[in-house]
Parts: sequence; structure tokens; C-alpha cells
Amino acid sequence: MLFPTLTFAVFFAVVFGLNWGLAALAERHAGSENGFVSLRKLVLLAASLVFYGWWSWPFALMLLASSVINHGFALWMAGRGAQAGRLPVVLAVSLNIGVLVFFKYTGFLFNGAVAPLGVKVAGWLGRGDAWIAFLESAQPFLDMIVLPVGISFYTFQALSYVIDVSRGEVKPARRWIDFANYLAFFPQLVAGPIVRAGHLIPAMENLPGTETRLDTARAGVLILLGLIKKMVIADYLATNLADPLFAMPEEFGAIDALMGVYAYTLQIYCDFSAYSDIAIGCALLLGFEFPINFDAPYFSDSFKTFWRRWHISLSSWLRDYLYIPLGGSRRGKARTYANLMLTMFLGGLWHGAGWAFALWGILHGALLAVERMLGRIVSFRPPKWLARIFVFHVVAFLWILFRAGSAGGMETFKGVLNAFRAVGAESTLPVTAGAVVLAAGFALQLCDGARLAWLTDRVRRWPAWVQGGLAAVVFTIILGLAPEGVAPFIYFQF
Amino acid sequence: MKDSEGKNATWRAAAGLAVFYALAVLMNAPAMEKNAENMDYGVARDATKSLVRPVARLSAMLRLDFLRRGAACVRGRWLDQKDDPQ
Repeated sequence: MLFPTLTFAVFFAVVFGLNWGLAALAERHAGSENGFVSLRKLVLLAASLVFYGWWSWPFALMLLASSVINHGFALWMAGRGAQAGRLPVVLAVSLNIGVLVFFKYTGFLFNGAVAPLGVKVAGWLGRGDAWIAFLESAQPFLDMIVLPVGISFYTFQALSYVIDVSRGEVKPARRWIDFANYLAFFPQLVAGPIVRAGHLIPAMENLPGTETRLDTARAGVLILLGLIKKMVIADYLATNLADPLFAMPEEFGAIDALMGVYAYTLQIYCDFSAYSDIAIGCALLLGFEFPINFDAPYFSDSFKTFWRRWHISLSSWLRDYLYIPLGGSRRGKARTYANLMLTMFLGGLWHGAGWAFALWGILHGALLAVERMLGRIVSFRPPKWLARIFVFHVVAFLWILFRAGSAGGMETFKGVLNAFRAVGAESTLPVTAGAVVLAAGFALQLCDGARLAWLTDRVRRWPAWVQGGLAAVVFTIILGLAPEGVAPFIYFQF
Repeated sequence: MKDSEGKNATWRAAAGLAVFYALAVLMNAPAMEKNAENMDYGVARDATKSLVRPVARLSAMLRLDFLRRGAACVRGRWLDQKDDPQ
């Protein structure tokens, strides 16, 4: 189920009504854990399963199974304490990673590594024909593997839960349903933000009551901003600038290539931050607070800052569960640089199963390492405005690789780079309107994070019905400006 | 997030959401009817059309669809125009 659709609008209205209606009933029949509280938790879980099952019921059941297994591991670790040793956490992590690898990386590992290596080895052994016959028989099986939407996100949430429980930083959820609601909570299920167990499970155990002051102003502003980013900006940039360039880069010249790369740079920001904004807004309306996921990333004046502002929930996850356990910056300079590269390499692979994603991650890791190295040996600091322009353009350049990883691979990457060489070529993309939309997409970063406070503070002063009426007006304008149909969010494929 | 005014805040939020839905449906009903026309033939299409049609008529009568049509015009006039290389 996609956020900007009528189906979701009806679905959310029903969930909102049931959630708060049951909350009121639970409070009327006093008692901290009465039947209405359990029913409300059940309704939230059912809603999440319907939301996910709308796409695939078998995978919704797999999500449910993941919640049962991971909660089982957590109870095992908590029940045995230190006696349990490292076995349960190793098993839990292996199982979660194993499922992720099976669905996401089997085809890549087989076709990108095993098959080409096998051809060479089989050639040396004189069994090339047998190997090719094996590859042909295996291909139909590989083609049957479908990537479950959002598996990378909920697997990382499950991992954070079992690892935090094993470290003693988080207690296991009191009941399975509380953990299942944490893992499957529909606003952030398929594309984040990746919310930590310590943040959301307590809220799932003690559901917000009707005395909770719903921040409708912030929720409304976030949802509408998300819709503007996705439906007006991202979809326009994709359809009119980025997609044509990446589909046939050989047809375009330098100006179009530049526009197309800028377009994808802002499309991916608007698309992904839109999902996060709408998810945070919807969760707020149900009484739950999520951390922010984007904080004006293209205003960053260093690569380190960029990764602190882009997909914050993933960056902090990689830092806490990969970079720091690898030794972080505590084991000497060389090890620190290696840790940065390895973390970003795996971060790149998290985004997609392909060498282009891996290379994208390695290059970002290298930039972080070089920046850290230069920071130690060079005292000169460029002006901030210059550093911002430089960081933005390097990040934009690397997005070419990222986008090529989703379609066409290195051929597309080379094609786009070649397009930059055709300096005198006539522009065929809508440059003028495109520039206006690009500027609007860039400026929308001014609404990220705490920068939004000035707007929400003003909206909060208005009565709820005025907020609702104005939201309907803005929503209608968004629908009018948006192209027909809704393109899926980019991060759904990860 | 606790409200000193107690439970009223949640109900105010619900009222705000109800106003949003009601107005959004009224202002977009003609477009919703058009979308329903494009659905596959069947019960869902018939049900959606019969639900949306009276609201679409009311919306057209009150001219509440002007906002969406205006925005679509802006899109057509400005955003969907290609640059003329001549």
C-alpha cells in the first residue's frame, strides 16, 4: 500500500478511529491491562499486516514469523542472562542476516561472483559444459526469488533488538505482541526510519492514551511536506529529467547530463525524505514519536556531516552495530580508515545487491577516510560555502553510480559520463521548468529537522478544524500539481 | 506530549482530521469520479462510482473543484512545457 493513495487515506482513517476509540474505551474501563488495551494492540498489529499484506500475504506471514523467532531469542538471552553466553545472539544475528542474504543477495552472489569464478575453474578442469548446464538449471530457481519489500529495514530493526537485549541495554518486550508491533508498525515498516527497540518498544508496551497531546500541527505539516516532496518534486524530476537521461544517456549532451544528475540528486532526497516525513507524521497522529531521518543533508560542509544528516537512522545503526564493534577509531589510524571503508562498503551493499552499490559505498568510505586524514595533517579550512558546494557536487557525482546500480550498471554510468563530454550538444530536456523544480526541491531542505519548528509553532496556534481545512486546501493543490499516478518510492527496492 | 486540558486534545485532532477528509473529498470528488471511471469493470468500480458520483455533483455545483483544476492548469502551462530549442 502506497502512502499517497486513496486506499491508504481510507485505511488510515479507519486505523486512526479504531486506535483512539479503543484508547478511550480502555480508559473508561479503568485498569492498566484490560481487554481493550489488548484489543488495541491487536488492531495495530492487524493494521500493519493488512498494510504489508496488501502487497504480499505470504511475506506478511514471514514478517510475523520473524517477530516470533526474534522475540524467542530475546527471551532466551534475558532468561539465561550471562549463562546463555554468545550463542543465542550469534544464532539470532546469523538467522536474520541469512534470510536477508537469501532474498536480497542470492542472485547477485551467484551471477556476480560464483558463476564467473566457476566458469574459469570449470574451464581449467575441462568441465565447462557441465558448469554451464548447472548455471542454466539454477537460473529458474534464482528467478523465483522475490525481494520482500522493506526486508532490509525490518531486519535491521530486529537485529537492533536482539543485539541490544544481548548487551543488556534493552529489556525484552513484556509480551510478544509489543515486539511484533515494534517490528511491523506500518508507518515505518517498508522504508524506515529504522527505529530502535529502546525507543519504540516502551511506547508499544504502554500505548499512548487519550490524554496524549497529539501534535496535529507537526504531523500535518510533515505529511503535506512529504506529499509535496514526493508527488510534485520527486516525481516531476524523475519523469522529466532523471529517467530520460539514465535510460538513454547517449542521446544527451553536457547540459542535459548536468540537469539529469542534479535531478536524481534531488529526486532521491525528496523521495526518501518524503517517505520519512509522512511516516513520522502518521505515527504522530497515532500517538507515537519517531526520530528525524533527514536534516538538510545537501547543506553539509563535510562528508562526515553529510552522513550525520542523510538517512540518520541507518547511519547511526551502522555506527552503533558495525563501526564501533569493529573497533571504531580506538585502534589506531590505519584500522580506523579500514573500519570506515568496511562500514560504508556494507552500507552500500545494504542499499542494493550489485557491484555499483558496493563501489558507491567504498567511495563514500574512502572520502570519509581521506577527510579524516586531511583534517589531521592540514590546518587550512576552506570557506564553508565553498566546502558545501564541493561536498554537494561530489555526492551528486556518486549518485550517478548509485542510480546506475539500479538500472544498466556500469554501462549507464559510463554513458552518463560520456554525455558530459558533449559540451556543445543541444539541450532536449525541459531545462527552464526543471531548474525551477530543482531549486524548489533544494529549498525544501529548509523545512528539515528543527528548521520546521517556526512553521509548526504558527500552525499550532490555529484550532484543529482550521488546520484540517487548510491541510485539505494544500492537499488539493498538491494533487493538482502532481502528475497522474504515483511512482513507487525509490527506497522500496532496498 | 501530555496535555493539561486532558482528553479534549485527541478529540480535537479527530475533528481536524474529519474536516480534512470531508473537504478533501469535496474538492477532489470530480477527479475521484474520473479515476473510478478508469478502474477495471466490476463490483469495486460500480461501488466507487455510486459512492463518488453524488459528491462529485455537489462539488461541481458548488464549484469546489476550482482549486484542483487551477493547479492542474498551472502544471500544464508551466511544468509540463518543454523548452523550445528554436
